[in-house]
Amino acid sequence: MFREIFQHSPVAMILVDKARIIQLANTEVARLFGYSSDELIGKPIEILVPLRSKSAHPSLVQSYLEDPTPRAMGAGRNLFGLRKNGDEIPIEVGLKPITTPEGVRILSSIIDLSFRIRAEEKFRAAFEAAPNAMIMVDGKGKIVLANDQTLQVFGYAEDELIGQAIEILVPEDVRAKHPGYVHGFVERPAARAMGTGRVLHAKRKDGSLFPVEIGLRPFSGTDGLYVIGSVVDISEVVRIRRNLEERNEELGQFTYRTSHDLKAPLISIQGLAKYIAEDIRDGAYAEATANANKIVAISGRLQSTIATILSLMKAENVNEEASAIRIDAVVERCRDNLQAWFEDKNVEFRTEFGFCGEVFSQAGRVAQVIENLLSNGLKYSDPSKSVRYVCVRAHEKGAALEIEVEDNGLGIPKNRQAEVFNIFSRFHPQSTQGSGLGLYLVKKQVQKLGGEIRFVSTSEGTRFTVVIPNGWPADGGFSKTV
Amino acid sequence: MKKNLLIIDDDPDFVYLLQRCLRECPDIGLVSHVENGKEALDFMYCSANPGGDVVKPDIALLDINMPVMNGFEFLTEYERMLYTHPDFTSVKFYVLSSSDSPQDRASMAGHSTVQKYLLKPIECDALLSEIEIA
Repeated sequence: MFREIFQHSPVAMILVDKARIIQLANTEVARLFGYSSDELIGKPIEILVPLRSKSAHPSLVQSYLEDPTPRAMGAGRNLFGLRKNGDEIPIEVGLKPITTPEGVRILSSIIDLSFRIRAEEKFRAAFEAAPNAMIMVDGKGKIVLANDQTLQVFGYAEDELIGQAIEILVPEDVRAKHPGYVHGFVERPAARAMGTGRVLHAKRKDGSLFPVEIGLRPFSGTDGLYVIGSVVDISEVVRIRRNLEERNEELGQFTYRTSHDLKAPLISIQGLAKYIAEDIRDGAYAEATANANKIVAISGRLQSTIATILSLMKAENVNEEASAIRIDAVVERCRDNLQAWFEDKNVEFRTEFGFCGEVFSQAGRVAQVIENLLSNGLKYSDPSKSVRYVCVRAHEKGAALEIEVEDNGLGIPKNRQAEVFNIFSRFHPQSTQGSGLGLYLVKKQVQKLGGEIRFVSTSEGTRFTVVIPNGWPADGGFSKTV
Repeated sequence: MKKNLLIIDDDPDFVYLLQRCLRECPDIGLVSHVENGKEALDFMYCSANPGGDVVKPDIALLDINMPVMNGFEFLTEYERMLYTHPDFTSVKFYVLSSSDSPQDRASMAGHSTVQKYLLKPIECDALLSEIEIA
């Protein structure tokens, strides 16, 4: 009866004597190790021990016999058994001494851990393969696992993190409070995002901080509660959001200012038209004519403001094809457009071309940059100077084209020079011609061309220097040269 | 009694429109015009002289961005004059500027002589209802 139970027990069991010879092996042992029961009986137990442990095994059995208590074998170590085909299987072994009429025997129960180990491997593989940094902490907030992503994102080696408090990854200003948060979470565990509604930061080994999104999930292990956290670096999201906020702010300001700038001339025109009607009624024809001329001038300025606004929108949204352009031809065309103004203002137009070859760029944008700089030179020419000029120079600089537009005009006030390229910057109250959009547009266009713009300005005049890459910015032509 | 008014502004088109607007108001007497803060200071000096032929204004419409001397510089200088010259009696200033910046508004609010900060462009009727003529 006892033999029957032993033989058919669902647990693999084996009975060995003091000389470590197998006396009994049930069917489950035979199945587990790939032998028949007969093959095992009479053989030393070491037949089931992997080669690397075979030599040490007899003395281990000996020491067990000296203190034979029921216990698990190989406490704290991973045990393996050797199958007939040479494969090793992870096992757990329980030992119990039995006294029989023939002497002391050791009864061993053997549990196959392959299934459990496979589950753990699967968990580890999933943990490692996760696209985010995954960190597992115990109920006290100590790191027990950190995947490869975590190591990469935070810059630590695995052994620098395991066993450390999770606060090692938390910025200093939150460190003191953090264990309290962990405690709170462990008390009321729930799957949730951390710090909802706030931008959280994490700290790398080098001390730098970066914005993160953290998801938390609690789970119960055999020895208590664990928390798995996934950490996503959201630097890019934060950057894009900030950029959008800035653009939105800019757009709001732009809308406000343009509507103001469009409204002002309209109110003037409205007033003037009303007075023209009165003047005609009263027979004051000369005044009516003067006011009509004012309307013409004001609407001309209004038109140019609207044209600038449209150019701005276009600069932002429309990309033209790059083509081979000759800079001297572009400059000539710009000058022709401003011919009447040059004559009106009595400003000399000069050119010094050190380079007249072709460059590959966007003709419309380049022309707009040059025409705006030329018209600035005209608008802010200094009436107190007997000779007034605007001079355009062009020459090669590495693989890029450098264009200079220099005038001997009023110059930009020193204390306002930092604002030159800001939207709606006007520096000359005596000139009512500026929309405050011109240099903002120039800067935008130069940026779209992948170029750079700078200037020097004194009361003697102003020189703008524009560097435009020869070729698309994506080709890297520009970065190589500047 | 009709109020005399001084326009301190460098934009001729705007000044012309202002003058025509004020001409229609029966409570406004003499309207004078200067182009910047420096000229306005000279005007104030002359008008403070009892024997002179420059009539002291009751109200002044003051622009901020002007060449030579801007609205801030003018007011600082003018208020200093108020303390040092006992003959000076204050004029009511209305700032009339196209600048909507909070800094400009705050700076102007710091001047005791400034009644209101009005934003250009402003229609004639709106302007007349804003300034206390009576």
